Amino acid sequence: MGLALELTGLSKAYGPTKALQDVSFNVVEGQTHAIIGENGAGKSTLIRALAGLERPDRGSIRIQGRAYAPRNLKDSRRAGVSTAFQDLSLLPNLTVAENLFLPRLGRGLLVKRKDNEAAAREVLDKYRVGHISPNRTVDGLALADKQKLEIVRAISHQPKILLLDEPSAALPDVEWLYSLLADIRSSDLTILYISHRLAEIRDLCQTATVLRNGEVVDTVRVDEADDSRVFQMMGGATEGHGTEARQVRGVTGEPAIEVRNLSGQSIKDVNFTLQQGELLGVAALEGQGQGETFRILAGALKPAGGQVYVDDEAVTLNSTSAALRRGISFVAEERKTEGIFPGLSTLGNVTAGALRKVDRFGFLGGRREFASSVDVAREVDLNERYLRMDIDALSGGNQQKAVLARSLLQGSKYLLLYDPSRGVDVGTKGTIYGLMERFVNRGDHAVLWYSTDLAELSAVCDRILCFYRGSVVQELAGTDISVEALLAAITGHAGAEREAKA
Amino acid sequence: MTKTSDARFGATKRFPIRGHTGYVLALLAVSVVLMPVSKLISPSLGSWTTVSAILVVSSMLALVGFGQGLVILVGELDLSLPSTVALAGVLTTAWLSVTPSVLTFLQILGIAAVIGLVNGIGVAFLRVPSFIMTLGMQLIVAGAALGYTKGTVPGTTPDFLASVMLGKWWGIPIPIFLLVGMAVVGTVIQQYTRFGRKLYAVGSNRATAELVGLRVGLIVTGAFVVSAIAAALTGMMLVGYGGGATLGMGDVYFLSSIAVVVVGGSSILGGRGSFLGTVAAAIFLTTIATLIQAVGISQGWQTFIYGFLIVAVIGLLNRDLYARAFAPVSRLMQRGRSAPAAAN
Repeated sequence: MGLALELTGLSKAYGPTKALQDVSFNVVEGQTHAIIGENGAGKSTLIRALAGLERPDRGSIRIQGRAYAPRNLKDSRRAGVSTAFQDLSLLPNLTVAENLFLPRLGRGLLVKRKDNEAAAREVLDKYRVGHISPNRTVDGLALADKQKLEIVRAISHQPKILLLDEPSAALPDVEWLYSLLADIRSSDLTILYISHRLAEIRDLCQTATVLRNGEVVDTVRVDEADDSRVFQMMGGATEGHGTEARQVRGVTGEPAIEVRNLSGQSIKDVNFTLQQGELLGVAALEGQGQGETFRILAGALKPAGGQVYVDDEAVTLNSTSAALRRGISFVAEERKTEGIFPGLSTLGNVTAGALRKVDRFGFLGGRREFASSVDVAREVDLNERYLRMDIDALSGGNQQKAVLARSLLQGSKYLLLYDPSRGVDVGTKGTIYGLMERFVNRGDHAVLWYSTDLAELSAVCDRILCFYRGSVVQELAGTDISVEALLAAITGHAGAEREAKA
Repeated sequence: MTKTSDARFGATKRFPIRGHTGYVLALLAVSVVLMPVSKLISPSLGSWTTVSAILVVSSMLALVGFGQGLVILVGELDLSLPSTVALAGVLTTAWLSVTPSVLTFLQILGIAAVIGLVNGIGVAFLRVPSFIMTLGMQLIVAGAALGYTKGTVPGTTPDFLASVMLGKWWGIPIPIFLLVGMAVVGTVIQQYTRFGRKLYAVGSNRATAELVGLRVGLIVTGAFVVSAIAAALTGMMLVGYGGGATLGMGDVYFLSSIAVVVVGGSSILGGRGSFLGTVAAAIFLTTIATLIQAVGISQGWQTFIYGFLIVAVIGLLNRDLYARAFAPVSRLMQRGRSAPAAAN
């Protein structure tokens, strides 16, 4: 049997960030090959390159020995590559049938609706999703059905190579996926299967490539690698962080924010307590409900059920200003879309959340506004000359410092920081750690900190909550904390950390 | 990326909002040059009488542009200004000339405030797109004005308005003092008050504004209320200046209230701009309009040229548009450069 796919030296950089570095591996025809890695390991970039949405800077791809350099999705489809994306690529306002057949909706100028729907019916029945009606619009479907449709559409193009990006992420059970893949498996079809879930990979895949920081760690036969080895490959050497002596902080044990049986769109029965003086970490893969939890606490989303207590008092956080009155400030993940005010000066950005504290009889722009910002700027290590500049002119790290300074100026006791160290330089990361330490050491203050970087979480936190599928599945504390243990917990292998140590 | 981009905009500013002082001065300079040059077109132009007339007319455009500017600053549009101007004008002749009291004056402004309030509630809380909401309001208010007057505007010009708009201090028309006062007060409101700063924040990034605890709905509504009040004041000035009210007296402001803000350098998407830019643009556009009138072509072609110029200026200011228009050219040039390289 020949090689279906040969990747040689594939590299792709976005500015200084290297998404893929010299990625090479082969996949034998007819196999199901897994791509494994943490958030940001380069999996999505790899898929996008194969699908023709991203052009690699260097390196080459061959499909069945023939050079393959797609410039768009159409090229990849012509070469027999078809993709089911993680962030579903369905058009919500069109019907199921139209989505299945786009861009071909019939011969000639007119759309033959009846024919399309009949053909769609056949496709849906064939791939075990007969319960989806072809004439419904996609936005009326449940999330799981949308995901199924995305997968069915990719398969219906009769590809030689099928790319499945986190196909089970929105499925309540994987039975359907298992039987579907059993149906379509043949010696002509090669599947690239991207998933965080090791159990699925063991059931479905023969070989696997592990990516870390855009590089291939190894390509292995799945039956020859045990779980602990895979976790180690994904997480990398722990860089000595996890074993450092931890600074004992003044955690008083008094509850600051208590969350009881919180539920919402993507979370169910979330329970935890943030204590006074604590820097509590949150570890999770993307989209496991941690985002919704943060936003509920920030007053930006309403919960479906459960209760939040702040300072031992049951509260309803209807709005962000209500949360602020309770002393809770939130820093969101997307600096560009939810962090900064482009076009305003850095000073304007810092003071925007606390105008009442820096004005004089309602007037701004004076010495008072500047002076009160200088203090918080110093606290986040932001050079005061940046205050006079447009925030757009600052680097990502300095913008992040300004955003943090804004939260400090609001004078809140509790900070909710959602991945503040993503995409910033090492120096700024250090500043952020220092800031969080000093903040919680003020006594009755506390920080809830989510990070996608497990190494920094395990190095900085004394206690870490692990979210998986909308709940806190495990709480690691003290010496139990390690990158491997976190990885196991957030990929749904709670308890696996014991094996990893053995 | 980090060091260079930080240094590129190294000029420090006392003023916490993006400065475009150079552009504003350029607009004013062009207007100042055009005024005497216009003598070449028509000898009646370029005199102090014409120049002061231009400034008087500009003062009204600047005031209506102030309100529109605040609405644009939060990323919305107010298309109900023309009929608000007209309604206020009609009520001024009908009520204020009969009972010239502060109370009547405030009543008229109060009616305008209600118009703005309804606009704001529709846009900010009921999520009607501002384009639809205010266009509907334009019809509603115009209809109310027509219904109230039955086509003929009652009353006369209140004396004090005529004396303000046509009077002079030390040989200078009073509206010019008003224009200067407006420039100062408007700039302070927009750039040096809490309210103004909130408008900038909401217009710059609504999601962030929400997360830092700003009450976006109230702030957007506030912008519409101020806009309607500014339109009502403009209507009163027009009555004083023109010696009466007509139902169509606000129509000229339909496009020009938006044009004056955008030509003044504000972003139509919100979050950027200054009132001084609007004032400069008001003088600039009024100068242009006067020039076109002086050329001596018919009313229809005057409007044609004026509309065309506004679209052209806005188009030139839109850097994205500029880049897009020239993208094919630069792509061709790149291809030309890379082709010989490939041949090697």
